[in-house]
Amino acid sequence: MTTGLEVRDLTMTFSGVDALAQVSFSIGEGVWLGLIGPNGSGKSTMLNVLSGLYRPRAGSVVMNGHDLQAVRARHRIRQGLSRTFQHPQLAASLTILENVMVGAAHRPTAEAPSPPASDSGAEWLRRLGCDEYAEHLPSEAPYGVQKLAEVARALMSAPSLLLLDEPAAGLSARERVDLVAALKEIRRHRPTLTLCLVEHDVGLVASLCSELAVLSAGRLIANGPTQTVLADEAVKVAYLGTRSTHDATP
Amino acid sequence: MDLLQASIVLGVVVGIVYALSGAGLVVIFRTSGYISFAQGDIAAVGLFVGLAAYKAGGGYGLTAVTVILVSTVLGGLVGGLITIPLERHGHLPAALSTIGVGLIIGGILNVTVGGDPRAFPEVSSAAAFDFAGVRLGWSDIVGMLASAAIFIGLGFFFRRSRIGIAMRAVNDNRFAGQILGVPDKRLKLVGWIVAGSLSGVLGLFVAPILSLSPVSVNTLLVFGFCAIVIGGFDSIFGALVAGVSIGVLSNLTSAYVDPNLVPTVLWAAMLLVLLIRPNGLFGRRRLVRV
Repeated sequence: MTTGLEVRDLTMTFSGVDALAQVSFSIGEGVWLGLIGPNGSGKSTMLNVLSGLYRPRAGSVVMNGHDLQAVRARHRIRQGLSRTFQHPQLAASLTILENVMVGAAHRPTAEAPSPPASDSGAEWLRRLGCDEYAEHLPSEAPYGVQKLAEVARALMSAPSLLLLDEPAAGLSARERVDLVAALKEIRRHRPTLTLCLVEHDVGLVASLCSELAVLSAGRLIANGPTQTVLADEAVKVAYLGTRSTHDATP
Repeated sequence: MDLLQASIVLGVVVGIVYALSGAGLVVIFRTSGYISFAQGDIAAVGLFVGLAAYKAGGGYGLTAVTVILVSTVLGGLVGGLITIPLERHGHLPAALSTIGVGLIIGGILNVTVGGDPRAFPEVSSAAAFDFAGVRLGWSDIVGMLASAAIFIGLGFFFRRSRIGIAMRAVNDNRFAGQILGVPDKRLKLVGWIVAGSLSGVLGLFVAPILSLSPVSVNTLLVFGFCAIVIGGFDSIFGALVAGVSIGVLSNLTSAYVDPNLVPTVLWAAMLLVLLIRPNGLFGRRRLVRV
């Protein structure tokens, strides 16, 4: 049985336009992969397909050996898939800690006894460095804390695959440093966690991910070890929108 | 002074019952996002079945258990079979369906048991003790203790239990609830079941005072509705504070102004709160991303 995630020939069409065209890549168990690309390249569409919000026109998503095609979005968390959103989707009337606790609410109590103290919502907030806002409402917490709270909530379901949709978007430089520290803390505590990180900040992605996949206009143009992909000329052209200075030199 | 004390003490006693009626409405609002207008009729069915059990020789304990059990099951059936499925068409059709359910239940009760008021047993008719010059009966004491226990239990349930927190989340951010796999329909059903049992408990307090008819609990639910508008639709604590305030205000108005002006004063207070704080004194203002 293949562990991790395998995406095969995925095609997603909106009004006749291919947002994703026969995209294939895989993420091994415990690997952190950065999914990068310019605006409109299909990154968020890919996350929405992986999490079941969009139904692809063709192709398959296989996770830990299970084809997810017939699994609805709300049930994918039971398969071990959890995600965050570019704009945090927190319940406004619940405190930060209560929001985090909702991450473990997908299973009936009998099936899922309360998590051990080491994996409780309060503990995840402490690890991610935002426990001081545990009793605050999301509207009372900084944006960076709201984003980390959503990550903590996703971790409460004990996922084997975590999808992060632009976790650094809208954060200050200081908050980005805190985010990187928090994500490294997650890797320390969950070394087997497979992660797909969609992000514009290539430097941030490169500091965290050992592999990259690059989308451009819905097509996968590169996939492999981070440094190899970043050195790829096609990636430089597509992602930066210009030829490298090396090519430009006569 | 005696009149003032009596008005306040008895206002608190009856206000807690108002608060309890409001709490049942809050439970459904917190999970489903609308008000049920059928809770009084659901309680009435439980009370009539309970009264039949009492007349058949069952003691008060068996009667009370029967009332709560029937109300609980009926609340779950109404929610699970009618209103929750209707939510896919929006909150308004679901809320309107509760009016329809209430009218149907009331109509059936009128045909089967009749609309004449009848006596309903109370836990005890004995006087307990005097408090601030007011003689309180054991029924009052039991009612207040039970209400206090229910409010503490509801507070703990919604604040500390995983199910209670998830129930609040379901209505607050439906999209997030779905992506997190929260079993929203099951949790909403739990809300209806809890609200049904609260209606039964409320009926046990109301029926001995107002006597039992198909509309007796509904008569009191008007005050419960007023309590949650003033306290805040999503606040159990708000229902408690507003319910007691309404009870005291009603009694003071009745004692010092004119009993006929009680409804006028209450609705005026409600309108005033709506104008100043549309989400109620303890309700949360909803934030909308633009």
